Amino acid sequence: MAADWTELARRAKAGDEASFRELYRRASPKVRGTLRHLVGIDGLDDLEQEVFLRVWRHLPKLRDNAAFSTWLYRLTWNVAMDARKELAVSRGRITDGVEVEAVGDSSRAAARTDSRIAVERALARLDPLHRAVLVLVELEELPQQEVAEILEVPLGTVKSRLFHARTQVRAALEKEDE
Amino acid sequence: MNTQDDKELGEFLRANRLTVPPASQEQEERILDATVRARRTGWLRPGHVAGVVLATAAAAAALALLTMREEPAQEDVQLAAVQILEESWSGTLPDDDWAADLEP
Repeated sequence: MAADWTELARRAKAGDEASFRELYRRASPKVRGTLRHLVGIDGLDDLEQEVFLRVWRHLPKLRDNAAFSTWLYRLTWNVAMDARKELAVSRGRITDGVEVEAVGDSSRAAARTDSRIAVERALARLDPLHRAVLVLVELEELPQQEVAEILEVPLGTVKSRLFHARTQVRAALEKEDE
Repeated sequence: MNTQDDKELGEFLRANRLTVPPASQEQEERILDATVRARRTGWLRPGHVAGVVLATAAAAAALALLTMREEPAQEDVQLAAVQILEESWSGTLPDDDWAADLEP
């Protein structure tokens, strides 16, 4: 049976590079997906690298190997926030690029692309804290309690942010439909 | 809004999640190389703090001499220290075995 996160984290912590490699392979889609939704597509590879450098650097300090996944998301969130701050400073404001997929002529594909653009726009209108809660709960499908631990806020805050984020996104999507 | 609405919204968001290009093989190697290099230079290994301290001190002293400044820029010191460590280790440890050699 393949080693689980906890076991891989334990081995990687002990300096086993093969386990770190496996950890990277399993974690990469989560990290990239979360960064993509929180920061955008620009510099995705560099941001991912920064996350894994922090993982490797701070792994020896991780006390509970079983909490690796939560910890990974927290590092990803921290890197995303650092990147947004840097972007805000360098550009004067945050912009989120809308990636449009290359699609064929079929109307179904076009409609799907329209929906994606609508989702991206709706997410981009959220402030980072509400956006993070929505991304982690709805897209990463994490339990709200875990999201509270990742963002280091009380569970009640996650619930209220989620409520407001859903309301805003729903309104934005309805507006797109008009 | 009720739970059913929330459920539908979640499903819609997941169905229309943004495309995320998977990491390329090159990206994977870049990340793994970067972590290995980081470890190799010692800043990840508690057992090698002494090496880093010495290299940093040497870098600071050398930069102070070269730049005629008592306190060279921290970034320059770190960069120089990393180079000293990399230089001092290169060629002395076989690529495949260096990790084992580092175990305390």
